[in-house]
Amino acid sequence: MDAYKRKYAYGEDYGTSYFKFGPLAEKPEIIENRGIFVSDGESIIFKIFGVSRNIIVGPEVSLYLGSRSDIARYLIYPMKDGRVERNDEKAWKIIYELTRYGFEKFKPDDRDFDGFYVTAALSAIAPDYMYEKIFEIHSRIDSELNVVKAVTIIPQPLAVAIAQKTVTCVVVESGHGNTQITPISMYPIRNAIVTLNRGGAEADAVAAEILRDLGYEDRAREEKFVRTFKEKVGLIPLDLDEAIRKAKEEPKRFYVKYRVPGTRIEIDMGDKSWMRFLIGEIIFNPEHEIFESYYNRGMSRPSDTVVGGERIRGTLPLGEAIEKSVNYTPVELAPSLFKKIILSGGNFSWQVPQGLRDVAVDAATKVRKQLRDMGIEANVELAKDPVYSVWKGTIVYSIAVPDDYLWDWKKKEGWYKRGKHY
Amino acid sequence: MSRSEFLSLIEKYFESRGYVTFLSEEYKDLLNNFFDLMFRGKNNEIIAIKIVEQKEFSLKMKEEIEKIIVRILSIVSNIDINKVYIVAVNPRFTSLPNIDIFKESGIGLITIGPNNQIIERIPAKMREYRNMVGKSIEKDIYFLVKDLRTKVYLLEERMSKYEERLNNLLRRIEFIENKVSYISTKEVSAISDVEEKKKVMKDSFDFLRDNPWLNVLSKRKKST
Repeated sequence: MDAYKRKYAYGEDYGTSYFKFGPLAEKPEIIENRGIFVSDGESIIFKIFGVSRNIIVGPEVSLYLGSRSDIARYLIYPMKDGRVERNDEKAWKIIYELTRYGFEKFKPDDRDFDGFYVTAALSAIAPDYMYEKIFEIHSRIDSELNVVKAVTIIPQPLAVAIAQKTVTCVVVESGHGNTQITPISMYPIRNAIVTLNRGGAEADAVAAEILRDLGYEDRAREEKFVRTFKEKVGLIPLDLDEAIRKAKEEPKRFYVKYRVPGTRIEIDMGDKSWMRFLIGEIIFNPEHEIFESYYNRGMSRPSDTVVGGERIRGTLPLGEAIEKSVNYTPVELAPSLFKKIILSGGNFSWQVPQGLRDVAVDAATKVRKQLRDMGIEANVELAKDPVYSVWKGTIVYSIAVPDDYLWDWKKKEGWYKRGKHY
Repeated sequence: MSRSEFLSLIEKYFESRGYVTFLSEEYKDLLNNFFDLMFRGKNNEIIAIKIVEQKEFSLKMKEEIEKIIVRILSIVSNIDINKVYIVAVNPRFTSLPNIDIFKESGIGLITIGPNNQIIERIPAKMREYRNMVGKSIEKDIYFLVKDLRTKVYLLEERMSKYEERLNNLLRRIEFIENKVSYISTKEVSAISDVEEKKKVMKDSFDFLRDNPWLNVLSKRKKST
């Protein structure tokens, strides 16, 4: 059985932007988490390309983007901040097609193949109905293709911890819309999960305000432009006040002129280059007084969340949020958890340019300093392979969990099996 | 003398002064309906002639001439005519309007006497006008520009259609490239499948090697 599970382990990472999938390998296949609804027999183009399906997913989606003038209605991104709405039929159809796409691609011809052991990873705060839907999708695909021997679902932070080979840790996963702090000690400690309603979108918002201050109102409205500008010029300050002071004293050192690759479009930050630090700081400390003026002029303040009946401020500094999460765990566990804090997700990928290393830092150093300022010595590191780590964790899970460990809704673990559940 | 003979007489008079008879589409209606003759001078100036024959009653002729003067003034405000003459045939003195009217209006007076002598009694004033040739050129340019605009528009339409066709072709090429790439990947996967399988069995992947979770997860079991 171990040999079979090792051979036919299959992982799925349902990210908001990308679906990563595949059997055991160096890395997964990656396609965008989106699909396009095409009309049956309406267009000659579809006939020429031999399209008979209603929904297209995968790289072929881009081929159909020019085929309709009303594309926004038919191109669907099913997930927002890791969630699919319960009654969004179109979105669930896309999820079905994406899942099926993966199995069609990897279904082997081997004689001994009787279906994959599939581990799917969802957001730590995915509600129960998402679990039900994912199970339903897999059982349906199995009835059509005979490719799912068993399926299970794990939270993405657990998958990160598994890929990092760390049994006791805190995983901080930060994406576009939210940040989740999940303590893990052999299991995810679900009642200690803290979610903050902020992520890369807040850095985008500050970047847009900076563009407005620089006089680029039209550019500030272009989402993609704002994002690339943010990624190129944004910096995380070790200490924001100190960084701004130095940047104003030595404007040439911090000066940046952002040029859009392949064009002549330039954004010259001039003597406002110190604003680069605001882009990084807002992710870690949106409560700094410097952001008040931005909130006053209309920039959204991150909204609060509720954990176990307690209201968590949306602007809570990240270090404090981590401490709060650890405080929900058994007290004897806290020192072990602080020994390994893993930062995962695109929102933590920040460069530190040479020559600015006295003021600009990476995300791990920033969190470490925040915790140190609170009197907590912690070991903080970035996930080694942020793009693939969740998927790698799902593969390990598929291989390792025994075949007879059946699904338990209380623990939210175990195999949902052909012959037992569907 | 008949009217045509008068016309011929006047033609000769003006031709002897270097004018030529002028006929133009633009002035055709005027010639048909009002003026009797038109001439063009050496400097391209245009002269219009209106003949008035003596009436039985002098007062009637005088009134007629005055009406003609008013009509002429209305015409020349809208159309380019440099000089206008009224030619009165055998007029009595009392048949003519006051000389001041001619001078104020700038309309000239020529008389034809009983012995067919033609005398310019009051010279006509030269009116400022746009050069006929220039006007013609202006009109040509206008039509040329209009024609060019139409051609440019048609060219733009054609370019737009070519662009669309090109984009469609590029999309089809990209689609074919993706298909070819996919097929090649499948072939390469098949070839390297054996090696991959060996790797799978030997735990050659880094994320599997020495991973404590393999042990932790293998101990998962249903709680009793």
